Order: sequence, then structure tokens, then C-alpha cells
Amino acid sequence: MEVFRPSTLDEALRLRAEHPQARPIQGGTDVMVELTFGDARPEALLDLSELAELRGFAEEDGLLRLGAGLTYTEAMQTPLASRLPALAEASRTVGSPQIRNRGTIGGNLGTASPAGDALPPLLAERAEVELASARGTRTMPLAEFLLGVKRTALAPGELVTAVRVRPCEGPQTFAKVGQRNAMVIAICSLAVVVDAEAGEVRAAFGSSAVTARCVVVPLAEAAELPERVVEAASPIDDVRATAAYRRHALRVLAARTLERCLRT
Amino acid sequence: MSGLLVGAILRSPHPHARIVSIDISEAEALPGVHAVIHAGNVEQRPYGYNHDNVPLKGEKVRFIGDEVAAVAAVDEETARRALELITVQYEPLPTVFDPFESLDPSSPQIHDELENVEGNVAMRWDWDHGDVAAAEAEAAAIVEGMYSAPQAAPVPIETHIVIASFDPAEHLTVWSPIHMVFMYRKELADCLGLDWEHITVIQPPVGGSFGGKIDIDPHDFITVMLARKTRRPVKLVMSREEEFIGTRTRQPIHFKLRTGADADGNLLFRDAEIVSDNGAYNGWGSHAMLVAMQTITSMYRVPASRVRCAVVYTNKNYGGSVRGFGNPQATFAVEQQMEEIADALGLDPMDVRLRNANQPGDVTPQGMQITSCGLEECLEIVREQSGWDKRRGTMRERHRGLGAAAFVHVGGGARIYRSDGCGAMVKVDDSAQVTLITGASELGQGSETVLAMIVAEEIGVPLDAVHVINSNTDVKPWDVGVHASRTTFVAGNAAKLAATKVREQLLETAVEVLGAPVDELRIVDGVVEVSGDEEKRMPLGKLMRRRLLREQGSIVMATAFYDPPTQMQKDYYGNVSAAYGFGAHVAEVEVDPGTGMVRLLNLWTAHDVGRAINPMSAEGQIEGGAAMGIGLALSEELVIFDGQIAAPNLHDYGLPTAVDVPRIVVNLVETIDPRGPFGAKGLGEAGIIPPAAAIANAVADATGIRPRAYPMRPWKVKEWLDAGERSHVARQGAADA
Repeated sequence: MEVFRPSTLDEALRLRAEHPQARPIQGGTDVMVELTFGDARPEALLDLSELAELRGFAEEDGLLRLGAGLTYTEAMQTPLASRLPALAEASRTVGSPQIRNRGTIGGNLGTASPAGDALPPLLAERAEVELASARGTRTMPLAEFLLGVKRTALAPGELVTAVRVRPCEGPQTFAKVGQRNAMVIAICSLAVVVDAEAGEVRAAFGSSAVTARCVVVPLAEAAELPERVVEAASPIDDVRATAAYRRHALRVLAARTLERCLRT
Repeated sequence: MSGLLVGAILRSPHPHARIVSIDISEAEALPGVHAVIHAGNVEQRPYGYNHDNVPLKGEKVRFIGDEVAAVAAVDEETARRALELITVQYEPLPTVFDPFESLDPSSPQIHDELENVEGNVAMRWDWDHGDVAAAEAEAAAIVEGMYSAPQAAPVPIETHIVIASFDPAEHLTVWSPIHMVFMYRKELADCLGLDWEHITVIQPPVGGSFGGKIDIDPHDFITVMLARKTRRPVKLVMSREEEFIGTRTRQPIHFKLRTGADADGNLLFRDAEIVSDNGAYNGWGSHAMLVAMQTITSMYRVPASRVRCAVVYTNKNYGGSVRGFGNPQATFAVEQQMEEIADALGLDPMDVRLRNANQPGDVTPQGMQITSCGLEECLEIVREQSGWDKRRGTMRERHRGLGAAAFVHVGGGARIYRSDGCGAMVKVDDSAQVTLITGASELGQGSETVLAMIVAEEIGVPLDAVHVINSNTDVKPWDVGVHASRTTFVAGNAAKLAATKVREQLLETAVEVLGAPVDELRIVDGVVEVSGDEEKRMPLGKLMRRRLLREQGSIVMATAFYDPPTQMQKDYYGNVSAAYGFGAHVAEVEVDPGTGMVRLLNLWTAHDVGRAINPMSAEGQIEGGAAMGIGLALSEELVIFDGQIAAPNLHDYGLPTAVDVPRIVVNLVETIDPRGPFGAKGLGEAGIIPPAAAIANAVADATGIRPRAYPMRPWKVKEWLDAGERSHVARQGAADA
């Protein structure tokens, strides 16, 4: 297997165009599992972990730009954690410390698993995805980027380079149910954001539909949120839990997170 | 190892199918492949209890993972590619996965080739003691219910690995993590038609077993077959996925149990109908009923008992001998009913336990002779430490609860074979280094340290003077193997007996050299001392050289074989163990009524260990066992859909993590057993037995529901909460009735 290790974004985009079969890899916490189990045998890998352009985050006029290479560990630390507390909480529930040091926000988007822990907080924040190719850069709402189970709107030649978020001022939080207290794939998860400026409450959930999904209700009708979340969900029975349990747990998580946000 | 080849196994993708044909020509033609074997081109005989298994299946496969063919190749990748080139045609057969369905005579027959098997019932274990019907008529309260334990796995960090090599003189050496090495050697020989005096088994340090490396598995035979065919050494390593699919698990057991007591809480009877889900073949797990039955008949004083147990074949992976061996499952049923019946009578469950507690000198209905017994003390300790009397039944508003469970388990060996013995050899050389050559195996449980401590104490030398050799059947004396928490007790007694003889030999020389009578001599810290004469002290090394380096000198060496004074059970009656371990746990949980998540907050444990020879490792064994018990209780399960293990990986197999295991309080209760080495009893399995039952009782105290199965995963607990699953009280009594 060939491994390309570009050192600049321009080089990475050129390689991406020249070698469409090369699988992008960042922290490797998803891709390496697929390789180990033989679920994926890409002809080549495009290693993005050396790209300085994808690291860290920056803020301009209240708009946060999270590099695709931002790790969960970084998302858990101040000052980012105080700007995006739900993302920080979600990041704390990802894997083990070692996995949180390797795994990245960009990788979570690229994999687009319905259980991706970073997705609900970013969806609830109305995040936009920044996509770059040799042709240029475009952005699109995260909700439009996620098409299905591990399917995204990434066009040929494109890479996820960043996530752009304008954090709400209101309270927000994240909750997750798993079969034990750490290192679990979510049975279901949910992030809630109170957007006082827009006069609405948004909740996004994971592991209960083909993609993470976002539900919006006016602030005045916040009490409706749990029911609306359950209506939007289409969970399945699997090895981790039943569909019925997931619906129930979503209702409970939505009511609790909402109460936690509105009480503060 | 030069010329080492890599072995790999082709496993059945069907849960039940006839093998129509097998074509290995393409695999054989692949460069780098040295052998491709299947039932049609090897010599093998049926093995296992009732000879219901064979390493490579020729006629039919009975579960997903059954071994069909194997290859030896120059490297792993070539071996895997060769497996893909083997073409097997299967004719799928009707399947049965549910053991209750399997009992139905119309269900597909899994072992139709075995004439002595009726339907799918591999074996029955039936027991009657006392008059259950009369006891039932007399009972003030009777509780009844179903309690189920799932398929779980031992999950050692190191997966199974075997290396086999024949030398030019046809002598076979096998490196294996098996810890029943002498029986392993015989089984290899019997199945493969080898001379067992030409087999050496080397058991190097083992990266964990938890019982999973007691059974001989098809891959053991297959590795030897590949080495025989290729005339090269062959190594076979299980992937994590294969470890779950192709090695032995903890078999699921379903208990329909009834318990009756009089108005004061005296137990009157237990009545159990048990279905043990054997899987496709008999492994050691089929015999877990031996232990489960003991808990039903003999945990507390039970005047009448009845057991009807069917061990039933299903098209699933089959059970082995996992830590606790049927006891966590049985205790889950028995100890929940102890609290259920106490509640039905309006009595405190701890009082009911104490009232019925086993006592030293008791002989249980199955003939278990109880020597030392610290059950009462263990119960009192955890009762006190947990604040039981003030807190149980008072925390439901905060969704918190306390629950208890006690256990009995063999602690002085277990005679499941004609001998339960272990040999030991102790020698002292001219440097005063002491070597213990023991039959017992070390698999991470710390037996090397404990056995060395016993020898050091007995002779009177520092611990670091004692070296332990235990890995090679050419060198070490016979032993049944490591199982049934027997090593400290049985191998410890053997080592102690040999060490006593060595001390006597050393003192004989000291009498001669130092000119003092033997009753004035002691060996302390490696030095012979003469009482009242400081001048005459002599280090053992010097003494040894005085003995050895002269005309007609002699070495110091002694052997011993200890076989506990026990009996094989006949009709389930007999004292299988020379001592029994007891203990009690109290768990405190908080249940999230919304999500059904159970959080374990505290676990207090007290264990009657006879004597803690090495207190730190005794505590470690109990903590480690309890952590495994917590995993069983809350998150571990091999979820199986249509015979397929859905997620054979460590991500979805819910081993507890550090944050799932609270601080475990360990109390070591020393009862100084009259037969144990320095009073010690076995405790290797003890810690895993009570947690699931204690946690279930705590969930009941926190919520009012009655858990019916473990693991108590959130969605399951939520189902019980929604359904209002309660204790089934068949007859309600009261203390004043």
C-alpha cells in the first residue's frame, strides 16, 4: 500500500486530485480499524497529519474556524471548551485518552458515522464545513454535508479542511448513553443549544438515524423538544440496544439536557 | 525457531450444515503453502467428553466457527490467502439456537451420530435430597422465578497461541498456554495417535487465562497435525476475533428456582430446574453444573433440595471452564432469592442469611465436609461497613440501593479426576539457593510467589533464595492442572511437605557439623542458629558445602506428592474438596430511572481465605475477580444473532473500564483451615462469584424491580422498570404468621 505524506495543503490537494483512490487519513482512529479488520483495502493512503494548515483553531469576528486536524483533546481544553462547551463534553466521551489525542474533528466528519460524537454538538451549533480542492474552497452547512451512513457530500478531489462555527451565547450541553461509563460507541447521544438571539432551541442527536440530525423549536415551545426529537429519529435494533430503547433514551436525554440549559 | 511456519484455520460460516465437498487444490498450489489439511487427509480420532468432537470436521459443522480445514504457510498473509482459496460446499441444515427449543424432540438433531444422546440433551444432572413436597407444604413463604446468565467470555489479554515442533527422532514439543499440561499431553496423544511419552509440553509465562486456557481446543490438535505434515515447526496465533469465536466461552445457564422458608426465615427447600446452553460440543463448561448444583444444595443450610438440569446442545460456540465455573450464574439465582424470601417474610435479608449460615463441622447434603468457615464473620463485616442496617430500603427516593450476596466455592482442590494431586521437588545447592520444582502452572495468578513463600517459610530462608521451576513436563512432577482455585492449597501443601523434608535433611547435617542436638537448632533467614550459642551460627551455604564437598557427600533434595483427602462424587455425593471458601459482598448502586443506567458506587467484600499467605496478592485476586464480576453484572455479553456472534471485538464486548469499577473494599478473614498450608484456602475464583447477585439485589433495593438476567444493561433495566418486573412470591408469609 502506497502512503502519501504531503507537508503542505497545496501538495495534499494536488495528490488528492492525482490519486482519487487514496484514502485520506488524519488521526487514523477509524481508518486503522478498517485496515486491521480487512474491511477496507485502499490502494493508497493520503496522510494529512503533517499539514500545519489543518491544525488548531482561530477566531475572527466571533467566527471560530476549527482546523480539520483539531483533536478531541484540544477541543476539551480552554479556551475552546468555554466557547463550545457541548463539543468539549462530547469530546470527553470519545474513546480513551490515547484515542482522544489522535482522533480529530475532521476525521469524525470524514467518516460520517451516525455515532460520530462531535457531530451532534456541531450540528446544533449550525456549523459549516469547509471543503477544499485544487479548484478552490467552498463551504456548506454540516446538515447538508451528511448524506447517510458513512456518506457525505464531499466531491471528487475535495478534503475537509475546517469547520466554521459562530458559537451561540446561550447555554448548551451534551449527553450520551452507552453500555458502560467510558470507551463506548453511543447507544444514542444528544446535544442541545439554546440560541436566545434566534429565539430557538436546537437539539441534534446521534446513533438514532442514518446520520446525526438536528431538530429546531422556538424557545417558547421548548417543552415540545423531546417529542420532536423522538419524531425525527428512526433508530434500529442492533447489538448495542433496541430501537424502542433508543427512542425512549432520546426523550429522556432531551428533557434532561433542556432542563439543564434552561435552568442556568 | 528456524523454519517456523504459520498456521491458520478455515472456520465454518454456517451454524449447522453438511459438508458436501472440499477442494484444496488451489490453496495447495499457492507458493509458500506447505500443507493444507482437512478431515479427509489427516489421522484424527474423536475427543472430548462422550467423544462428541473432532478437531477437523468431516461430515458436518455445528456452529459458526467450527474448524473445517487448516493451512501452514511461510507467513500469515500467505496462510490467510490460502484459506480463501479453499472451496467448501455446504448443505445448510435446520438450526437451533435457543436451548429451550432445543429440548423439543422435533428440533434439529445436532449430534445425530451419537447413539447414546437422546434428542439434544448432552447430559442430565438430577438431584433429590429430603422431602421437597413436605417442605413446600410447611413453608410460610415461597418465592420463585427465572434467572438467566448469558454467553460471556474470559477475554485474556493474550490470545491463544500454540507452537508445535517434531524433532528428527519424532519427539514432539508443544509450547502452549494450557494449564492442564499433563492431561493435555494425554489428549493430544489419544486423538492424534502419538506416543505420549514422546511429547513434551512447555507452558511459558501466560498472558492471562481466567479459565479459557484449561480446555484443549481443536486448534491445539491442528497445530500438531500441521507440524507433523510439514516436518517443520508451526505456530498458530488466534486473532482477537477468533479468540471470541473459536475458543471456549462461559456457557449461558437458565435457572427456574424456587426457595421456601418458615416464618422465622429458616430455609426449608430449594427446587431448581436448570437449562444449561452447552453450545455445539461438550467442553469443560458442560460440567459447570457440578459447582452450580453445590451452590443450590449447600449455600446456607438447606434441608431439602431438588435439581433437574439438562445440558442441551445448540448451534453455538461451546462452553469452557471460565473463572467461577457455573457459580456466578447459580449465585445470581440463589442469592437474589435469599433477599426475596426475606422481604416476603418481612425479615432482614442479612438476618436470614446469618440464621441459615453454614458452620464449621457441617456436612452438607452433597457430602461436602466444611472444615473452617468464616461465612458469619464475612456477612457481619460487610453489613457493618456498608451501613446495611441503617441504609438498606431507605434510599429509593434517591434511586440508590444496597444488595448483598454470599458464596461458597471449593477452596481445597476439587476431585474431578482420579487424582487431585500435585507433585513437588525441593533442592538446595552449594550456594544455598533453594529450587522448588512444582507441578503447578503460573498463569498470572501469583502462584510462583505464594509457593516460594511457603517453601521459604518452611525451611527458614529468605524469599529471594527460592527459585520456582514450573514450565516443562520433562522436568516437573505430575499435577492435574490449574483449576478450581486449587494451586495454593494443593501445590502449596505439596511444596510444604517437600520443604519440611529438606529442612530435616539440613538439620541432620547441622547436628553433625555443629555438634548440637536437633531441638536446639533453628534455621532463620538462611542461617542455622544454635540456641544459647551465638558463635556456632552457620549460613546454609557453608553448611551445604560441608555436606556436599567431601567423600561420600550428598545433596539435599526431597520430593512430595499431595493428594487431598477427598472423594470423587458418586451420584453427586462426596466431599470433592478438602476445604471450602466463603465470602460476602455488599454492592451499592444508583439507578438512573430515565435511562436505566446502573452505576456501581461501592463494593464491600469480605473473604474467608483461611490464611492470606501473601495478603497483597490475595487482595489483588479478589479485586480482579470482583472487577470481572462487575463486568458480568453490568456489561459483558456475547450478543448472538442467528448463531453469529454479532460483535467479536473488545469495543462491543463490554469489559468494564477503570471508571466502571469503584474502589473495592477487601477484608481478608483468616479462619486458619486445619488442612491448608499454613491454614490457607484457595481464592482464585472467589471474587467473581457474588458481584452480579449483589448488584441485582441492590438494583432491586433502589427500584423495587427484580432483575432477571445479567448483564443489567440500560435498555434491559428500562424494560424491567417499564414492565414492573417484581419478585414472584408464590406464598406470602410474615414473621408473625
